[in-house]
Amino acid sequence: MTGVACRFYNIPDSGSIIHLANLTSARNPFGISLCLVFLKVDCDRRTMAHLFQLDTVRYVCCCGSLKPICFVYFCRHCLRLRCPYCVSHEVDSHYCGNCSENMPSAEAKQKKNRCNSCYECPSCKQTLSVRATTVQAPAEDDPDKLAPKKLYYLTCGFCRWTSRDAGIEDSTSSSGPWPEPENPQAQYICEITDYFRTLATREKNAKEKKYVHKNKFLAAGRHGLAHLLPKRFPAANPEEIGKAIPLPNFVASTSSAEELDDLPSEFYETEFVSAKVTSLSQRFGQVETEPSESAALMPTHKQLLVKRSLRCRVCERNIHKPEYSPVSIKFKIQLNAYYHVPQVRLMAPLPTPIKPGNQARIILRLANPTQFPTSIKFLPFAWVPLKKIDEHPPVITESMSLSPEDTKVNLPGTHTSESSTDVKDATASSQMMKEIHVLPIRNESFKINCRLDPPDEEVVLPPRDETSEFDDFADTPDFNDDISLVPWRKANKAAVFLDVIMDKEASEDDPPVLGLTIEYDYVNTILALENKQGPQKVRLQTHLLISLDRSPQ
Amino acid sequence: MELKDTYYNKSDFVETASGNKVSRNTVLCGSQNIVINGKSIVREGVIIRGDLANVRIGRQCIIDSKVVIRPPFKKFSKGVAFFPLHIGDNVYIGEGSVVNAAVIGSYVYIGKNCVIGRRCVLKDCAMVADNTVLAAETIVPSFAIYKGSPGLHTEDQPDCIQDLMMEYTKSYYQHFLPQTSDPKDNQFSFVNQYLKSGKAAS
Repeated sequence: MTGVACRFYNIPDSGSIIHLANLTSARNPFGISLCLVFLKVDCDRRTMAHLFQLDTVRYVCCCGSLKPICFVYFCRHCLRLRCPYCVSHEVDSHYCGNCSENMPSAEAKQKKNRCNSCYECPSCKQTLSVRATTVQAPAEDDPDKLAPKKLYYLTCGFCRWTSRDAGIEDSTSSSGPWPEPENPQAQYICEITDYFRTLATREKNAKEKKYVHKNKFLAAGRHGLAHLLPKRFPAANPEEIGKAIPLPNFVASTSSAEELDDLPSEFYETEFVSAKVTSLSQRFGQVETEPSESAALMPTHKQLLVKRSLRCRVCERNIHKPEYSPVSIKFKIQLNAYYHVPQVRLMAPLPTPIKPGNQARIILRLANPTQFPTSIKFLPFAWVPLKKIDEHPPVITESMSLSPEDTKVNLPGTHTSESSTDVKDATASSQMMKEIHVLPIRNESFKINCRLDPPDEEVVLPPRDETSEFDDFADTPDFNDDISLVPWRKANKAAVFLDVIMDKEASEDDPPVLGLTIEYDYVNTILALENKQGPQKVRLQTHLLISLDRSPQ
Repeated sequence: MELKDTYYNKSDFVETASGNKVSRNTVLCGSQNIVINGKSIVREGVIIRGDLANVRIGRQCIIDSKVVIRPPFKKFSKGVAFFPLHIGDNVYIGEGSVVNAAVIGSYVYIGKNCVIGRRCVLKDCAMVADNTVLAAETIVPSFAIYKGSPGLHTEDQPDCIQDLMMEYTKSYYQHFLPQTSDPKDNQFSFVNQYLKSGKAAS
């Protein structure tokens, strides 16, 4: 891989790593192709949500994706949930996870997003450490005498690979330099990629129509994605277009070979030792040479990590911005739903499995993370997917009876209710329109086969109080709760008993899934900042899916 | 889901004034070199090698059963030297893991049966999944999840992991109860009643 920017994007949601690279190998130096390789790494997103089995309760984002609360964001300006698909990801800074050193993005691009000083084992990808040895070498001032001299080599603590295995001589300084694997055809590849790049931009410019929907923040700043956009060529200048691009002076045979050479005799004569042959992942780890013998594996530079900020695609405001320092775990802006949306958690598994047509009682644990008191009302599931007007609404849930009273939401100004079933309402809302155009519609398929027997009472939750976290004996204010509805309360948290009925038509094999909509008070302080009014209280709805069949931890 | 109550025999545990609950069935070598800052739980079968170097454990940490905590050493030309081991606040170390790290930051989660090699550094909010083996001198950056053997950076933590870990370790402490405790003192007794009610009905 020479002269070609190679980038890794770690898409936070799917756990997949996209490797966008010009893959050219020594053996196929001219077969340049822009490859988009999706390496599906383990997609188990339960890894951290497992702490409280948070993935039993999934929040429905307005685009239709289902995520546990710790993976969704709440845009304070749109007053909507935003999942990682509905936000644009921007690279704030590049840093090395090993030495925590920041690298400017231009340098990172030049260094192919790899750290200067840290190396990875080419065999098992663990970080290499530098080891020192002392040897007796002739002293500089007096060549007849022997003096102790320190030499350094790289070693892997996991698989015991050392730089000596690669035939690299020990270095006199602890920081290297260590030899870099080099593609023998690097020069050609460089020329050819440059040639094709100019060709591609020209072709693109010729094709380009007048109007492109531009997201001004997409290209913003040094760290934006501007470099991925086509460079504006002076398309208006006909001379420039007419001029032929000088051809690269590569030497490649374009005629097919008539006869293939016989396999060299060494393939038949020498014994095959599998330990001396590299694995596929080892070869791909060193794309410059793609060695087939393990002796040719060279230490590779460590891949950089990025600090990333997120931006709402609808209102283009930042909803997540980490601090610049690679070691800092603080955020300048943090609108994770965990801090802004009431958290609903299943408190205990069902004591007995629920059967179709039967009723069961569940305990939910509610928490109010905001600074203002809120009142939570439980409603039947009333989520309506985003849809384009000319399309028929996709049927996802089973038909549900929605009474207009249930779905009425009072939002100020342009905010319409998420649950408006009327298509006309949707068209009236500019925000909704924008969401339809801007957001990827994902409408994940889900099946709801349990429904709620909604209680009439609302559950009032006091605001979050940092001090109560440290006081185990703090008095809980008395809300005169009905003990059969709210059996437990502490600070900003409460437990609620709810009755659930499983559909008669549901199959016994289907896992029971409860659909639920909660309506809660949200105090909009952003409006107060912008319009110099007082904070405004609004009723918002959030839609949840709760899997009831999880066994306890 | 709420954590399940874990009951312990009151005579098997020592409870300090700062709220530490340390099992009597542990090997704490060089106990004068071991500092546990409070509200932490050290469960049965744990070995902490304070005789090698200082071990400092922060507040509200959970050291699950059969964990070995051993300060790391480094070889020099004139023998070896041991380095102190610092563990931050709200750290969970899962059953049967062997920890040889130099520094473990705060809000770190280490799964079951992990091997954390010599002089590893686990930065704040890092996670090591179950059955992971980390080579010596590995540095796990913040918000990274390391998985497998050899342990590799496979995915990232959610952004709210700091508060999730605080809640988790706190909740573990709240649900770690002496057997003799009065069920009425348990604020979550209604959950147990709820679970029992179903069993009785069926």
